[in-house]
Amino acid sequence: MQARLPARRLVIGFGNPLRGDDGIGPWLVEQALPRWLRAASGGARGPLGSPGLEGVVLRSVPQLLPELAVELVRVRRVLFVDAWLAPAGATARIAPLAPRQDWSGSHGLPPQGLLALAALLAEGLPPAEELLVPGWCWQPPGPGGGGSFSAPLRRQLPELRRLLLAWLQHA
Amino acid sequence: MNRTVVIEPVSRIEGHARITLQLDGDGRLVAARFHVLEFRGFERFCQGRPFTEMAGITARICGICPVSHLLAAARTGDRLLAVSIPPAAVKLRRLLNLAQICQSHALSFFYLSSPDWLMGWGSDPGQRNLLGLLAADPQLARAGIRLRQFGQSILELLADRRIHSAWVVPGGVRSPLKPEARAWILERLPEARATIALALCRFKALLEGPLAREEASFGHFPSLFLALRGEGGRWEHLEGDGLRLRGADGQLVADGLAEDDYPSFLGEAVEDWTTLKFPYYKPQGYPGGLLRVGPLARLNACERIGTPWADAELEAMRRRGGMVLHSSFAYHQARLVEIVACLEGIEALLHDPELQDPHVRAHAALNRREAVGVSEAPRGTLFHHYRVDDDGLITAVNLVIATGLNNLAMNRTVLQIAREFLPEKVPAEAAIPEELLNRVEAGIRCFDPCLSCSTHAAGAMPLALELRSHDGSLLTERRRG
Repeated sequence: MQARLPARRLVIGFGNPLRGDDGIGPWLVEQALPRWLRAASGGARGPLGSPGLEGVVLRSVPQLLPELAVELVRVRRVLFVDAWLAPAGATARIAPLAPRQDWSGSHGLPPQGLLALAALLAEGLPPAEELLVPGWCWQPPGPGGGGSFSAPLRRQLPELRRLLLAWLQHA
Repeated sequence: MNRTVVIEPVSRIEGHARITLQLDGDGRLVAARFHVLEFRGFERFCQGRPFTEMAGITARICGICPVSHLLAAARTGDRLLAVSIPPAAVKLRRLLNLAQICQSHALSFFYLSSPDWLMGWGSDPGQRNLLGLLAADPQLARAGIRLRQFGQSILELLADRRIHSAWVVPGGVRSPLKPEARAWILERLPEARATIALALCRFKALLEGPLAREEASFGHFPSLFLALRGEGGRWEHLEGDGLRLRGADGQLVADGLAEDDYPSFLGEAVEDWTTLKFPYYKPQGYPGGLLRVGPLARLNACERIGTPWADAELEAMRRRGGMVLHSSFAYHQARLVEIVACLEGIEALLHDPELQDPHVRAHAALNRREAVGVSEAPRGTLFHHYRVDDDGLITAVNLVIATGLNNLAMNRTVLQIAREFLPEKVPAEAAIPEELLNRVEAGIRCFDPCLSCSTHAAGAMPLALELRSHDGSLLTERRRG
């Protein structure tokens, strides 16, 4: 599917949507970012229903599987979006990523391992960054309700919007 | 002094397990066991949920083969509704299952098992993985990754996501296939065909030389083979015309078994050292009713596959090994042949005009209180059995999983490999070589077990917790059941 898309910049949100703040990557990519992108592009949608600006591919996955490396080698730049276990007061930030051979699991890879795999698949490797979103709650919301994400994380949403749109603007 | 060799964890399988080899005081192998340590409990906590939710809930059992549970749950739901689903939905479900088998088999063959024979049994375990394979055989590894991506992408094109989709529902599916998605699949099929041709060529050459001993000793024993039966005895993976059991001598032991009747012919034994149940063919008792399911069983059970290239490959396998292939090592080749069948089946479905029909879901009220649905998961035959109350709420669930159905065979395979590759007497202080340990693990990998799927036993399963000293003597134990 991705081969037919104008896939220039790739944003991969990964995590478990049933685990509180760990689901922020998939939520940003599936729900928030398409809204923000459509608003920025006046409502345009990409081919095959892939939402977003022309030249942006959004992927939401529970974990990083080796097959994703095939998509990585075809893009100009890639951004991974993941939650991290944060100390109090931590804020979201974007950090550069370098490939590192890491195959500690049967299927899933860390972003650095996926980059290493992509480097073995192709000559060139796109520049890669990671949006690290601080998380504090790793359990699903209780029966009493409430949002899926912790209050400190929800307070970060404006900053996440700013960081993501700025990355897309300059990538 | 008795010794126990422990292989833990068993690597490159889905889930967590341990293998123990028990040696007597003279260093002779006396027992080998495949222990599964997980406990899930889906059968219990599904109780009280509407049956319409079962596809979505049970798909969460597994991230590798959620489609299999989706399909089995939806088929059980169809029967609770007593509804005939639209022909286009039947074909779309079949397309989904073929893509699922394709991607899962690609994972098993290229990612999990091929490093053993392409990098060497005794190679560095830290490098014996897909990354290592990319360095050692980049052409095959690249092709394998793209083949799995192809299967995964079809799942996504059909069901909107690769895992845990809610696209398949009782009564059909939620939406038809988009024309642009159909075009994309057709465009990528030739590359997938080329990949599998390459893999078959490489693997068949290995069987004629470096892997001959493994083929002869990795679970080479007589057993029954269980699978869905297609029309006229054809290979089948979803709808089927009942179930069939073929014996080791090639004769049909049972044919046209009704899915609903599975409790009459499948027993489920438990042992106190593993959480994985031991299903068996009831008329032959436990453990005599040992059976195998999955790719090898499907090929052994069928008369033919029904597509030209796959049938030619099946014929070649049978010319070489007989009508019934006994070695569990043949699961690997069977996976490749099934991928061929999947690719041919996908192409045929995409050219079927009925696939494009927008009518893909039938609606009905609850009409039955109990039903069984079966699908052929990549790993083998999968049974979902539900009872519901007047409101359609689940009152009882039983899931019989392919990996469980292979449990007796997996244990026997481990024992046979250990007997073949261990010295007759293992000296007291001898180190067990890496390549032996890996071969024992690889015996399990032949079956591509999914322990996440298969550890659902709930209730009165006996459980033993033993604390043993270094010399194997029992210090204390607690038993339940």
